[in-house]
Amino acid sequence: MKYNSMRRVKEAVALNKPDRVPLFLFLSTRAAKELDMNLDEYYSSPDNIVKAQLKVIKKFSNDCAYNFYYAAVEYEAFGGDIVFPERNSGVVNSGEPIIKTVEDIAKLKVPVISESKSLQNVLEVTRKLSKELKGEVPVVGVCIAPFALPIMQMGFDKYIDLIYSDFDAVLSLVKKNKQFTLNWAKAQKEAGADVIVYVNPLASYEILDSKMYRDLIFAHDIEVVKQIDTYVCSLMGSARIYDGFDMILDTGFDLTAFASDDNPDIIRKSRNKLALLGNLNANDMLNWSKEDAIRYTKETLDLYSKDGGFILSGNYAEFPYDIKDEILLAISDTVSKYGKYEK
Amino acid sequence: MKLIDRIIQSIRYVDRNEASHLFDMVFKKSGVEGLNLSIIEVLNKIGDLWESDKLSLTQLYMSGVICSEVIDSYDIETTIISSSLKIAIGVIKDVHTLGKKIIYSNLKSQGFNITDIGSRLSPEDILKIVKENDYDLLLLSALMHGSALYVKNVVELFEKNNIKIPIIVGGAPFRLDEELYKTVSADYTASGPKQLIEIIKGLKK
Repeated sequence: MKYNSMRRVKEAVALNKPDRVPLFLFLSTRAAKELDMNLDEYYSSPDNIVKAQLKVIKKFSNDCAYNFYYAAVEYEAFGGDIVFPERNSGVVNSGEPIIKTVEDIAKLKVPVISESKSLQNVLEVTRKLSKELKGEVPVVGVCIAPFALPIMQMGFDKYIDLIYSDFDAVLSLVKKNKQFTLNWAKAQKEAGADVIVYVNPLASYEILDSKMYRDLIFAHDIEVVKQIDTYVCSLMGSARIYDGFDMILDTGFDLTAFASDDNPDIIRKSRNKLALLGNLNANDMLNWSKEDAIRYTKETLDLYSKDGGFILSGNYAEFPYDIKDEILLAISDTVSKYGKYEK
Repeated sequence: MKLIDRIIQSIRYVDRNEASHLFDMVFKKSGVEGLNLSIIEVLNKIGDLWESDKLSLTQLYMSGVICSEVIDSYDIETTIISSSLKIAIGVIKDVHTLGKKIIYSNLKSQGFNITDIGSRLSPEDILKIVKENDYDLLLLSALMHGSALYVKNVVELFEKNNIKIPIIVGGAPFRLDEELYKTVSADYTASGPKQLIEIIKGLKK
């Protein structure tokens, strides 16, 4: 049977060696460049996202389609504002926090997915991509972990204050977020998402100390992740996972992203246990020459791909808008050339 | 265990009551100056622990919060002047203020003359604030890469308006790309409070 992206990815996730290392270029705003549109125009119609994703799959031999709009899409569903950047290289930001006092938590309503325009747009993109790609290329969706959503809902500083002063209040917020995260992941799955990236920076020891995560949050993540009935990929933003690897494993993820400065020994920890996705430094790519792109891609393949179970990608779920075509093409060509497995 | 180490341990566990009790012991024994010196020592050691991956970001943030609370609880002015520079700190474009708050509370607690000029600032906002307040040093924080790029516009505006103060940048994009501060024409970048303080102490008014 001929290899397509889906088969390639499935074999990598199953810790095997496909024909070559799969490549996940997470191009969200960067894909808008292909249609030569401003971001607000680009996001005004799901058809634009579908068109751009199909284009970048072909152009860069990308092994995934990405339904992602921007991180604040879930926050928008909770009633938050979003702020479009003045120029395309900016990001779509969440606006002022919607939870200003502990009392606001009780008033917060769990968004009904069918009633949220922003979520419906993402689902429409997912359905259309899934239909167009006919199961040959996996569609990747994103959901933010219940304990990570308050970073936008409250602002990170206020959220940290609450974690250390009133954890019961945090739990009452997370109860609502858990319900939403599960509904949102399931809706994306039903619309055709084959992989859900579970964005969970608090699981990184860089962000929250591991003991606190293990004692207070870990069980909630296990409960959510085990109910998402498709491939689930752990992503801690751009934070390192090294010391938290065993917890990732025990959470029940099918694969995990890792940081560009993670301990390379992670390959030993993950062997025969969990597929890895990473870890080119997407920010550095802005300064790379074509030769740099080839060199870093080869180095990454040499370090992590030998035993299978590896998907080449960036260090977080977005490649910056200003990355040049020649860099993405050099990465893609290098994977095609040097990422092959001998059969 | 030495008292300073006990304080650090209480901060590591974000035990406000214990930290406050221990700092009070220092105050009763050594007065305002002793308290200020112990806060500086604690925050320096906390900075070391964070930079060597032995402390998380949330613990680093809470260390500044706890030390600020201690200082506020005595209603006293710091007796330590760590630098004569008049410093402004703000967040460019982003709404994410955690990095700014970490640096602000840390520097304030260590006797720096620092003012929080806000978040979601445009380059024009920053120019106006700096011009009106005659700052000697500008600290800019960003979380998103796209926001970090706006630092270059600040530098250009400063040049046009003949404002010659150093700009130090920090935040995730500058940590992930160590050359980014040069791309946006900032003078320095710092990965955390400890490195930042070393840079500031090397600057002259």
